[in-house]
Amino acid sequence: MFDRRVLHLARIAVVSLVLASVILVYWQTAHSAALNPFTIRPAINTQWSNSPGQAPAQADQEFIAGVSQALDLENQPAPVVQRTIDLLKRIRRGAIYDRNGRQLVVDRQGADGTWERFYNEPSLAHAVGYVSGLRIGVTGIERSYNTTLLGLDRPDAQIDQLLHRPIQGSDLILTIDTPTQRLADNALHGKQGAIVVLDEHNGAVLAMASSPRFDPNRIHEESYLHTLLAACDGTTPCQGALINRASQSAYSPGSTWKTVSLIAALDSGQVHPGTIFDFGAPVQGPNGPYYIYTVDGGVIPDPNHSERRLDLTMSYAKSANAAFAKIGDQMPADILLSYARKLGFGKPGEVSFPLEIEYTPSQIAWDTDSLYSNNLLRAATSIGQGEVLASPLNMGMVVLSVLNGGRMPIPYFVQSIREPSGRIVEATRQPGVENIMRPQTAQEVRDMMVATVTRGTGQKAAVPGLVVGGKTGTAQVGGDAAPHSWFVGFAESGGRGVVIAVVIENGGEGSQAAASIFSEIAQVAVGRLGEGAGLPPFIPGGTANP
Amino acid sequence: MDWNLILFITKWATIGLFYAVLLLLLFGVYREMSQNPHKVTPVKPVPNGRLRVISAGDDGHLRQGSVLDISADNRLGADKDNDILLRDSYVSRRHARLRWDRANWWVEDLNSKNGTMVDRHRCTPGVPYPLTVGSILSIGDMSFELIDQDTGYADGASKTGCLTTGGRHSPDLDWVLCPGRLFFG
Amino acid sequence: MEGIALILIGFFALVAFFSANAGMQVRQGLNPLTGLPGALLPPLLVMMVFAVFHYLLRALKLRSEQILFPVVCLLLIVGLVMIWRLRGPEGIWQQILRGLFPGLLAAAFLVAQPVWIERIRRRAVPIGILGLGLLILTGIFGSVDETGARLALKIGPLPAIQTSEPLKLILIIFLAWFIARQSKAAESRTSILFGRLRLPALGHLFLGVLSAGLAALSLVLMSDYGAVLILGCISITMLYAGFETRTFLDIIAIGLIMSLVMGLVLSVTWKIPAVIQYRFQAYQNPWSQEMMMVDGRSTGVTIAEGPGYQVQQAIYAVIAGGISGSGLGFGSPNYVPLAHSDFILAAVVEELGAGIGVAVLFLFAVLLLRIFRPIFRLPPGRVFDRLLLVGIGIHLFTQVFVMAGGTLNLLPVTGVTVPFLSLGGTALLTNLVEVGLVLALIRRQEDTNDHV
Repeated sequence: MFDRRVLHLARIAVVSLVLASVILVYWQTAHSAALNPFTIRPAINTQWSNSPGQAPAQADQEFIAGVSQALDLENQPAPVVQRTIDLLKRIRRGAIYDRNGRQLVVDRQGADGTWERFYNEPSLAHAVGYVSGLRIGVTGIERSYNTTLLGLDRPDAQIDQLLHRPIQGSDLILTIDTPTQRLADNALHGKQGAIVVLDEHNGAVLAMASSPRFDPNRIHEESYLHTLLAACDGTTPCQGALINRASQSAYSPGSTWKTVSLIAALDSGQVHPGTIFDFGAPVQGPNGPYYIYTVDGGVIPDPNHSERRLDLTMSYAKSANAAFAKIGDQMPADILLSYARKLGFGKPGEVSFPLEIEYTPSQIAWDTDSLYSNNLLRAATSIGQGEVLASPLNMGMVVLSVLNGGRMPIPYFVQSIREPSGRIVEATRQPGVENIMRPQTAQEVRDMMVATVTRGTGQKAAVPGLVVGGKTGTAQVGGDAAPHSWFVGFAESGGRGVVIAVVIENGGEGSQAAASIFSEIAQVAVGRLGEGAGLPPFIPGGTANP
Repeated sequence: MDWNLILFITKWATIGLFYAVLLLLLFGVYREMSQNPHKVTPVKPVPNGRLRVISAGDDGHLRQGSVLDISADNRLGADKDNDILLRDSYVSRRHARLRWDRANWWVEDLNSKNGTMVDRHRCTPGVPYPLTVGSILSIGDMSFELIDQDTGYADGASKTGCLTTGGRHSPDLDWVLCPGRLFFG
Repeated sequence: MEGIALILIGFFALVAFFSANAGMQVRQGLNPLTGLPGALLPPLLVMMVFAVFHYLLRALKLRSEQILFPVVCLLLIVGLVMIWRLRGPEGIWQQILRGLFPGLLAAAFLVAQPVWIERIRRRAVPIGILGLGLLILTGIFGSVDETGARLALKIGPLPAIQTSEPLKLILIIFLAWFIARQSKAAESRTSILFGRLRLPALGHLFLGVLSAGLAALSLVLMSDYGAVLILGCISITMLYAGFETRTFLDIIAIGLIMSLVMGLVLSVTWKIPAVIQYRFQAYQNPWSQEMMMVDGRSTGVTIAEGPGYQVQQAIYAVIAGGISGSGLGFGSPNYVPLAHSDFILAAVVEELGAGIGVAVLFLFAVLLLRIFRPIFRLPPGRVFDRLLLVGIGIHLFTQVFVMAGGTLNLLPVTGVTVPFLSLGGTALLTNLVEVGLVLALIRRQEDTNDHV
């Protein structure tokens, strides 16, 4: 009896110890991800728009909340933070270069042996982004290439990690061209707005500027964050300096969106370049006569030209609202929607692209169903008013698809990755969107864009010696505020070219402010493109192991 | 010298040596179990009892009150080849035999000069005489009490010569009556 | 077998101390060989002492137990390496000089003189009274530690004694003696009947349970709840092992009634201590952001920052280890509070890996079975010896399991040490005396068998 009772006890004890072992393995397997410092990444998904319904202040505050969450890591258990710091102390984050080998971002070692990140080009703050206090990617390219910059996607770094050696992250070489970038940044000086410069053949981003901007070197300072937020108390207009207006904004695109309506109408055979529009008798207004288009009792004014009859090319070049309102009115909603979706416009958040930076999807309407029933909305949408919201980057992508014969490459920043061994690896490229329109349609649209600059509203955008095409836009924002000034177009010479999208908030007529900025940048950018062609001269050093 | 690599190797060497010891010990357990699988329960008869010295006679090696472990078959006497060596001058060379037959203790006088007594009865030489717990075995001038193996002590421990109350107190409480025993056997 | 195992353990000790030292130096950017002699001295010395003990066992012809001592040695070496890594020379020399050497000396003495088990048995009552006296002395004169509990007794120039550690062994001895006396009587004697409830030998049982309860109560008053838990587990298992099931249930019933009466008396003045309250809160969710509540009032500290903190740290240390660990000297076990004593298992898993962590638990299982093994070989009737073995085995097992459970959030955290691993001179001394008792019992049994 005694022996049996002792056997019971022994069995219970052995089973308990086995249970403890199982729990040990359970913690290591089921919860191992909880400790992985590289998965701690706050979800920052903010957008900003000038449309009524979302105040920029609110968006900015959400953004700040996200950033501070990332900075002081209140929601992370203390052990995770401590152990993450321990781990990251040994990692030197990779540097970032522009296409000419200029150092944009670099890690420098402080006196206490810890690494600190320096941003040499503040105008790229929005696109390149910055890392949090824990040196974990938070925004922009720093975020999307976090693992690469930490080097942890390389087998040799994983071995180094096993052996407790210091780890060197991989460097990134961007497609950014710093002189172009600075030019764009200067052009925006004192204004609010954004400029995107893309390579017309592959969508490589040559410059991306957004104004107002912030200093990524000071973003960890709480007082600096408060300064940025100063005007964002909800009553006064907020600067929204942390928002990347080039990709995260949602502006009303105005007449630049007529390009999308034009593509839909031409490619589906609704119209052809020779189609003649008769606008009827003009109406007398306080600023002279103007034309109107009436649909379902609604009236769309067309003050942009004086001619009573125009063909399609000149309607586009002179931005005739009445012609495009009619096109939209008569076009089946299905056709308009299918083209718009391919180009990035759908319900809010419906269509997105695999970009390397934060991107707010553009929209064609709050609810696409209303485009079927509401003819007035469809007509207004076709001239870029209505409920259409777009970012400059997306408008630039529309032009990219025209210039590439109906194929839209996805814009990208990272050209190649340089490993510490010196090996240079091409970055993986996202496949573009195919078959948006027939090549013939693309050619016709391209010609009309050229006509806009030579004979239409965009004459200020012309650059001597370059083939320039584009579309102006003047987006009404309501109230007494001046409209947003848009210009989206391309400039090329000898087989090389750039696509540039410019938006200046409250800049007035698109044919004035935006178009002249376009020409100023295009002049330089096309030439820079020639110089930057081929492999960039590369400055090693500064990043190799000391 | 790449110390990181060396330390990586020593790390695995540490783990390897630990497991080597573990496997060796497990092998030991396995061998032990395969060699004598039936040895888990004892098969030998084990005597249930011990002898407590009540009077040591003039044997300077024994002390009053000490306890002798005994096996199943013991020869008692003054000769060195006896199981239990008794150095009293009245003890013969081969004096007596104490046996356990898995049920009872038996004592047999081996034709000793001065005889063997159980509870003051002289035993006939050559005839086994049964002992029970508490029996007093007298050999020469020496006397022993047969005590139980586990609870250890028969009643009547008062015979041990300490302070007595004449009652039936537990020998486990001897230390109350004989404080000296707390420290000396 | 034992000799080969000790040689391998010696190699293990040298390699482990070498890499612990080199790892710590490399991490600080120093030459890995810095301080190597200082690091290798403790393992060499300890291995020599192990060898001496081994030859003693051989000289005493203790042949039937070749596993127990190497298992203990291996655990001791793992503990010493971690203490060296966490506490440096000061900690390791304290452990060796106050725990390991005296403990092995006492064990050697017991093995050489197994008759002392008999002497201890006969003095179970004075030993028990001595234990209670020590406890009371500690309660009155003990030095107050950082948590406000009086657990250590400092007499003169001697190093402080954690009274609750030897008290556990004293309770085992006392209960073994007591149950051995009672079990036969309890099963034969007629008993008082209350319906189905039999109350055998009421007076003696009452005395026994009362003394165990008294010890537990004093510990509660000293707020050493870990020791109370261990004492309770030891008492219950020993009662279970020693008595027939029905008698055992009767005793439990008596115990319940007594604790109910005591509880009623105490509930007037005594509430569940705050420590127990929030340890339970932390056990339910160590990450909880709720405020710590005491007596319905908020303390202004969240559970995650308060009592949950050490559990979190322990769990993250376990997770950080992975299968093979970070390597000695390369982890961050210092983040875990009390990593050198209560939470040493977390430190072992972080630096040596889950492989060795599981193996250590396995070693404890082997140790337990080796301690229980003689029970099945002892001649029938030696109830005291058997109960002593049961008590010692269960004591070591419960301490390991309570701390492994606390480290892995399988149980609420209770402050006890891990036998042979944790830093603590008195605890190690007690555990080694227990090993000595086991070996002495085995030796005595061998002698008996040889005679037949």
